[in-house]
Amino acid sequence: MNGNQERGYIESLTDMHFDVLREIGNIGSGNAASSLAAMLNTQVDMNIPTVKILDVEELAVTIGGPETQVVGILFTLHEEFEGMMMFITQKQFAHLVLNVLMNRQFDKFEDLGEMDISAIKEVGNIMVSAYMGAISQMTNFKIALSPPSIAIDMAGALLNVPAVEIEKYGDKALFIQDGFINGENQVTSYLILIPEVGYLKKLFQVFGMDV
Amino acid sequence: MGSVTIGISDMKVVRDGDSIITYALGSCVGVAMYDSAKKIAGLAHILMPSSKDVRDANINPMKYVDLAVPELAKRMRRAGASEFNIVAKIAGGAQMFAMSGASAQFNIGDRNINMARESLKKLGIRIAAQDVGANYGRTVEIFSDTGIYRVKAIAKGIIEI
Repeated sequence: MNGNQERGYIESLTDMHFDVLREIGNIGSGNAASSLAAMLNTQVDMNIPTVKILDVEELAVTIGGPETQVVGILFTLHEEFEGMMMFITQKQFAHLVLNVLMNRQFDKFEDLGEMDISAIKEVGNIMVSAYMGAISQMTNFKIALSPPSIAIDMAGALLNVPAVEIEKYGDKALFIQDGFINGENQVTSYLILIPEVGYLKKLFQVFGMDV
Repeated sequence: MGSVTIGISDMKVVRDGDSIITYALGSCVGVAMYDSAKKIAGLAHILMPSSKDVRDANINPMKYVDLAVPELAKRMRRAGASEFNIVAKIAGGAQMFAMSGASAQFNIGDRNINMARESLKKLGIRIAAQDVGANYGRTVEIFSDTGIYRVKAIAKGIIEI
């Protein structure tokens, strides 16, 4: 791990680099909306995604504050693009998914059963694959995802995991916020991507950019 | 009596009945110190166990347990706390995600707790109470008048240690 030599790399990116990341965010979000629509067998529209570079404290605030209860699904990325990815949703997203997929209402996360949890996990898996698909489409990198790991707790506590990873590279992560619209429901999901800096450089090289 | 909030990789020392709160410790450890005679309390919200492998001229000592614990003790003494009166209370150090084939980084909570114990022992500071480990997040608050360390978790509610 040569993280220390790479500290601050993400912060040092130029607008051109950032455009590439934004494009990945846009294509990934489009893929995610299609996947969600196919899974729920219903029409899903989306708002323009927000793609940002944020530090850990900003992440917690953007997600609704450190004590907000959220669903976090964590993956590690392997093969030709390595890093960590966390998919985060608020209660409404889990609600919509369970409502449609499992035909089930729930009031509290504490009431969720094992089947519900694995349904949410699978949705996370499909969503994250959709975003990763965007990187693969644009670069031809082969990317493998670890099995998902899920936790439902305070946003700030879940963010400790990416925080430790981010720390190696100087405190910032890529952040994509999506709003999906299904009839009267509007739900928000968040994606945090922490690529190993070497692989991020490789990605920029594909686009003929300086790294 | 006021309450001050600290973020990640941050620390404060207060007195006169004030308290310090920090939100949502996951694998992070919240090391609190207290001098019951002087009614002085300190809190550090620490991300990583060890600074040993870090080569960075601008290292933030509040980020690493091995540096943050002695730094907090130093600030307690500077605020007037007596070395012999300071006790510690620790919380956090959870493992938020169970990963299959867990690599060491996912057990960072355990490593944070172990380093906190080791660092406190080196300073001769006794751990008076603790609520550590498991797999859930904790918001903590230390009160300078009573030394009570209030720990709040979503599923477990509030406990005072």
